[in-house]
Amino acid sequence: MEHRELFVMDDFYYEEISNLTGAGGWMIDFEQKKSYFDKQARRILQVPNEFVPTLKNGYKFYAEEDNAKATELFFGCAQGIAFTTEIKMVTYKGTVFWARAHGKPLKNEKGEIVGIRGVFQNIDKEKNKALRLEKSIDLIEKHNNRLYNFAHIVSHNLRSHVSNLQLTAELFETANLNQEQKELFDNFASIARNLDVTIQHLHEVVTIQTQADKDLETVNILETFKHVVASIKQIVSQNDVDFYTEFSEVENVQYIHAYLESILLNFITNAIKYRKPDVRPEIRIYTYQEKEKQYLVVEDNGIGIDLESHRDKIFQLYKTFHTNTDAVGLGLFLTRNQVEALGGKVFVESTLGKGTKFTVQF
Amino acid sequence: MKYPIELACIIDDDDMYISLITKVIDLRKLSKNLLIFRNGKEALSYFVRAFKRLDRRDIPEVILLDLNMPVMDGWQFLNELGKYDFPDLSDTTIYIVSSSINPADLERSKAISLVKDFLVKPIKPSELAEVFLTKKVS
Repeated sequence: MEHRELFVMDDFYYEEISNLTGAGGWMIDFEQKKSYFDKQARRILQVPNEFVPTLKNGYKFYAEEDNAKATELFFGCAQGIAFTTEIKMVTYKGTVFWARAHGKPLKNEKGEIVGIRGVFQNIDKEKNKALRLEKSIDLIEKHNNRLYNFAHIVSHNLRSHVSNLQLTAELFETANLNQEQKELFDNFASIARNLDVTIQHLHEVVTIQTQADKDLETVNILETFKHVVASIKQIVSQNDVDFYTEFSEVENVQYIHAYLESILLNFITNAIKYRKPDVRPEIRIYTYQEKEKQYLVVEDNGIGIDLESHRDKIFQLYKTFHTNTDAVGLGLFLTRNQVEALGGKVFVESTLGKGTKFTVQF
Repeated sequence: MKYPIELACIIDDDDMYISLITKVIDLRKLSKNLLIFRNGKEALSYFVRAFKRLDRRDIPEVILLDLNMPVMDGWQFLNELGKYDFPDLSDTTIYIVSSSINPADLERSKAISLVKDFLVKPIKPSELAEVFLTKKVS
């Protein structure tokens, strides 16, 4: 009696599990030479009620290109080798779908293999999603490679022309030209120079991502800061800049050395470039830690940026929002790209006439 | 007229660059003679022959080597030349002159002992003069 109840419970669970997972069962009985599909299997395969599966019509449920694979697995299973696979199947009505299938040999009391049985599940949605994802990743990789090649072409092919142009300009004898010709020639030389700068910028932008694949290293912030300030000693002393630094909360970061250098350089030169003409520039640079995250702040007392109208543009390429002639609009774009390439973020706060505060979240 | 060096060598596939550099060398009288090869392979077969003849007059004092070239590029050329281990090579100064601004190329060149320096195109006439004049002093 107790046994019987358990059996009923089994049936209940079996049905529920089969409904929940959408998995159907099948069996091939070698002794009786018969095949069976359970209710769910029939539903998945869209077979009519009167359909009787046989060994012969069984292969029709596998997509043509996977037929050999199915045959191999079934034969293997008949020899005692269980299988788990993903395979393309076809319903009775001809719809192709991806299935995950398990199969195990069925043995009698003597341990002889008398059949095989297993379950299969329609995983078409998941499988197609995975395939699409794989395809996208593939595509992105290809795009990345193309970008890398592009950087290479920019670096080499374009630059060799520009460098020849510049060298030609350099060798050109201007002494015998009249005033108008000389002016035109000066244009020519400056165009060559500008072209060179633009190509160099383009190259820097494109190489950020390839650099970001490099291994991170422990970078000391104070050392990097000192190094950056030393590299722009002249502008710093010309502008009589006051630095206030405090790196005790975060002394080192896991980063790419050249990136931190470039980030600090861009923020500092930016602060100096947009200083108030009549006020001594003060730049505060400090680090802090909050909720497992590390931050670097560069704050100045410069002219500030009107964020209301420029917030979207501030980190874009070649967007300058000041009228300074040497504002190139590359620095902040590079900075943001470098920070983001390493998984961080850049924030900006600014008040016109008061100053600007840039925060890097590493 | 005294020239700072007797024989210089340019290995580059860019005709325009060669004609410009030749002009600079002529105008400034930087080298008496000039060897020009369009790729690493041409240059290598010349050097292998020249070193075997052991005639010092055939060996350039300065080599300006491009990186990207057909048939045999600058890296391959350096690699092949290094294998021969010619003793007379110590009197030859090799400069890479490339339009590449890829930091990886610069790093790679630093690891090659045959290379004295990495010059980025466009090379200024004054820079070029310096290369030839320092060679004379040393």
